[in-house]
Amino acid sequence: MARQHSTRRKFLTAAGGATAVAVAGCTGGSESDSEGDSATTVGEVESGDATQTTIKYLSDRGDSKQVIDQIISEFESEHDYTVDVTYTSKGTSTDEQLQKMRAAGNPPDVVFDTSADAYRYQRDGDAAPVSEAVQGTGLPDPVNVDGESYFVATMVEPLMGWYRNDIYEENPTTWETWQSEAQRVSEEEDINGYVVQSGQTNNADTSITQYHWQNDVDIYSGPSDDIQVTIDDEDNRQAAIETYEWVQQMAEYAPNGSGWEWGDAIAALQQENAAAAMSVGGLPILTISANRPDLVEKLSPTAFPVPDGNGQDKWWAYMEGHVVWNSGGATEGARQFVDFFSKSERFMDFVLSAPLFQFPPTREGLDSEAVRNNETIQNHPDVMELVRDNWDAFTSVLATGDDGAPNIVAADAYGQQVFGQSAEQLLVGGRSPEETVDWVAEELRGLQD
Amino acid sequence: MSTVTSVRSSLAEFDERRLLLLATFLPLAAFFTLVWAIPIAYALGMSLFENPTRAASFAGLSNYVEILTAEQFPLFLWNSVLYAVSTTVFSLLLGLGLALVVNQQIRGGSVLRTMMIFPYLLPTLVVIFIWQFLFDPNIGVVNQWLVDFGVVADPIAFFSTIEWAMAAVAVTSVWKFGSFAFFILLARLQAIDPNLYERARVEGASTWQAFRDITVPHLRGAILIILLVRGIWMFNKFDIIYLSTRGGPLNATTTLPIRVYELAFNEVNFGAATALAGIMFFLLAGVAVVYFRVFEPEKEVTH
Amino acid sequence: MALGEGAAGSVVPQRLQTRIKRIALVLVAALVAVFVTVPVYVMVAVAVQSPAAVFRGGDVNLLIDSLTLRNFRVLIEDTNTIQYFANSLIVTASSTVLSTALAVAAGYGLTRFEFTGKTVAARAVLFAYMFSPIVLAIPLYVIFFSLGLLNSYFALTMALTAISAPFTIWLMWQYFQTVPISLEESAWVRGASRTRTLWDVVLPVARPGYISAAIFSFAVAWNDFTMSRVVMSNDEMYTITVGASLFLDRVTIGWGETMAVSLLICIPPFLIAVFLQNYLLQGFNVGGLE
Repeated sequence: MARQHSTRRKFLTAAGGATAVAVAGCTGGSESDSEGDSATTVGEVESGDATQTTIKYLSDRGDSKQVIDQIISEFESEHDYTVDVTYTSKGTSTDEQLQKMRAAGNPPDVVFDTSADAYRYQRDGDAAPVSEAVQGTGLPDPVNVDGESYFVATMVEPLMGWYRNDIYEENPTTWETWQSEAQRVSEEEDINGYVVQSGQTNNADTSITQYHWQNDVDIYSGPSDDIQVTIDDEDNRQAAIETYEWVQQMAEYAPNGSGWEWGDAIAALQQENAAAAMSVGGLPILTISANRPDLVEKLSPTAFPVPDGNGQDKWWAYMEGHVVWNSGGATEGARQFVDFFSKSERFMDFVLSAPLFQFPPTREGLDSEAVRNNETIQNHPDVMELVRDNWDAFTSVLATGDDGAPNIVAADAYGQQVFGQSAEQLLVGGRSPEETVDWVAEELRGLQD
Repeated sequence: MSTVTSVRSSLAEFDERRLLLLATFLPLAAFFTLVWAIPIAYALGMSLFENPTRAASFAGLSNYVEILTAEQFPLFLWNSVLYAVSTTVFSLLLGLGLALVVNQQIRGGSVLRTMMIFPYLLPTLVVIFIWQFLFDPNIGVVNQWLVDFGVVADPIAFFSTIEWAMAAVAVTSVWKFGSFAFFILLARLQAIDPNLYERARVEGASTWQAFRDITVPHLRGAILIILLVRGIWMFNKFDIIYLSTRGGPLNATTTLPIRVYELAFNEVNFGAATALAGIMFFLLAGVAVVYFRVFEPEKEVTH
Repeated sequence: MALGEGAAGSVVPQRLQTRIKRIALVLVAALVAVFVTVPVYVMVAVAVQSPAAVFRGGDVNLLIDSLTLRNFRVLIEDTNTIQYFANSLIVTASSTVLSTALAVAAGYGLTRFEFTGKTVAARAVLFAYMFSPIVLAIPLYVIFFSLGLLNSYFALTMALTAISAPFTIWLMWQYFQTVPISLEESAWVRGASRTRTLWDVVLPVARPGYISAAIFSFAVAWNDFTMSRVVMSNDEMYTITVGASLFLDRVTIGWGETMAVSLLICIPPFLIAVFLQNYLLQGFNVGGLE
């Protein structure tokens, strides 16, 4: 595969950087490329004077810097491109960097982001199709628009809860048991039974959304081009109210979690202020094993609490990966790079640089030797069991249109953490569950204008 | 002094004088244009467009109208004023109090002086790490002490309760910025002729009178300018609030700069963000013009 | 000088006054000392112990009973801390020198030369601070990009100087107003040139003033996050604040490393504060010159 790339690459270099962009447009054969016209001109000027085209790569994976650098140097030795990485911190700093680069006519070629962000870029006409790197490779294809893929998934990060197995004799599992057990723990032990996050944070937003899913609330419906907000429909309104009622009750057995991000909830577990918290994957274990090694074996993973009788059929899993931008100076090189990246021998090292937190994007990868032989993963077989058993239920917030079609309203709502904010309205702002549902519905509809 | 000498010297050194002037102001003017004037003009320009970084379309003043008529604008404005005024006043009081103390040559004064300058030199990032660690409900030592001594039953999440968030942010800010007033005022205090105090003492003036009639007039210019620039900076302060509370809980600490950031990078509405920055600019400029008129802070008291 | 009128108005005897004053002084000093030092101590305590020791048993243990360099080792082995730190030192030093020099020159010019529009110009400079700096990131990036100055120490030095200069100039302008012109005039009479006088007479006298200005410009440059974020986009060129903010949100980095890097960041400010002691101690005395 790599060889094939390099021959094509030689031809392109000979033809010059400017042509490379033009050819990229042809081979991609996509309509959406035309939207990048004005920006492509900038790219030509940029790359025209350089003998080696530079691929500008934006990533928030500082954790995996060493592996990324290795993959890049392998790529550079096989292709006539150089790759310039700008690391951003997690959260909004990627958006900030993107805005700056775009305003200066210096857009990136590859961005590492979530599938929801990829879909937003596609909607805004910034993403270039990368179908060759996705279709037929076994990778998931969450951002497929009119048959073209716009996102190359590299990892999956499922939500997961952790509870103290020495305080909770067994996993309470259901809403009802969680509530009575959390109450018992809070009253009898010197610790809060649970953590309820609220506010404009990812942790709060994901968990509140997941609670709605647990109670079968259909927040949205409709195909991609006609998304309707249905959270306050007749069918869903009651279920959504129940969700907020449950959240409100659990908050009584929880410390004030307003504005809490992942790290805060983990700190509550670590300092024994809370006996359970919902987080993402094994993130709590990674932190706690450094600070409180004695606590690690007292923590067990769990699925999100679910109302009695409901199944775990929709499980939030982040999907993160590469988006190629269509307005940079090295779009074709960027396509080759993301493909190379996914097929690299070091790919698994990249995914496993944060084991238990990041998982491979495919079932095949999950069952691979690299995963099985990872020491951290071996130490926590119960996490792997949860992931394997629920693999088919994993879904992203993006896939909430009809039949899992990408949902732009959900992507935007996640961008502004509307559900996290709804919990704050409920718990801090003193809205009733009913009013909270109305509030959230109004906010969501506001995003559609 | 003889006027003859000054006239003669200024004539003789006309060229040198000019050169000095040029050397002084030219580089400054260049930076200033590059780093302030052009970017500000650019940003103000953007505020007149819809979607300025992408497919820009001229929108006139509609961004401004949108911002000013937003339901929560008065709340954000109030938060900004509250934050700016409280932190400015408290850090001035802290700095002034301590400058007076250190100027008295008490034992340990020099150690105190070193300690006081220190927080101001620390990056905001570090200051936030420290105070988050202190105030955190889970790992925070302040809470640990409060609970241990029975002051409170449960830890208080200072940065995330409506009642405490603004106060916690303000304490953190005063910790960092109190020293700003301190070292400027200390330099001014040391510039006061000690003979003045001696003479006052001989004439039987009380400490308070000496303070009122000698110290205050000498510090007037510095205090006025500290109030002005500190006030401006605190009004525009973004990092310390964003890093500690992100404007929460429930907008309790959302000041206008936080709102600007949300508009620009969460809602990706750069037109509105720059418009809000423009509104803040004109607000501050208006206040400053009045302030300059009334106080003339650059005038020294002559005695 | 309106001072004599109150001379007889004092009710409290002077000795008691002095004692009250003394007690108040010590009290204020002690309170401030606690307020300033406790947070710093906490930082040190977390930085020099292993996280497992700090957090053992679910409490935060701040009595330093075990020392380890573990946190620092992680920083040096797993991150680019040293490079970031060096970058910060370079731009901070250049910008401090540049900004202070500009301020002394401009401040002197503003007090010793008369020209029209002087006050207006100086006031106008302060207006720059009124524009919310957050949104300036985009225009600044565009400008530095089109000048081809991204990722250079030079550009960052210039940018940092531009942030500190308006205020340092104002500071020096104020300060030079308290330096009597008679000092210089007597030097001129003895035949010294203006430049010579500036160097030999004015600068030594203005020392506390320009030290304040230097402290301020150091603080601005060392503290800076925004400008560095705009100008530098290459990992090798990041300053410590930006670099640290990048690696601190990694899952493998915890409070121990956070406080360790904070402690490192504190070292130059601490040295400066100690070093400046001597200068500030000398004070400034114009009394004998009247």
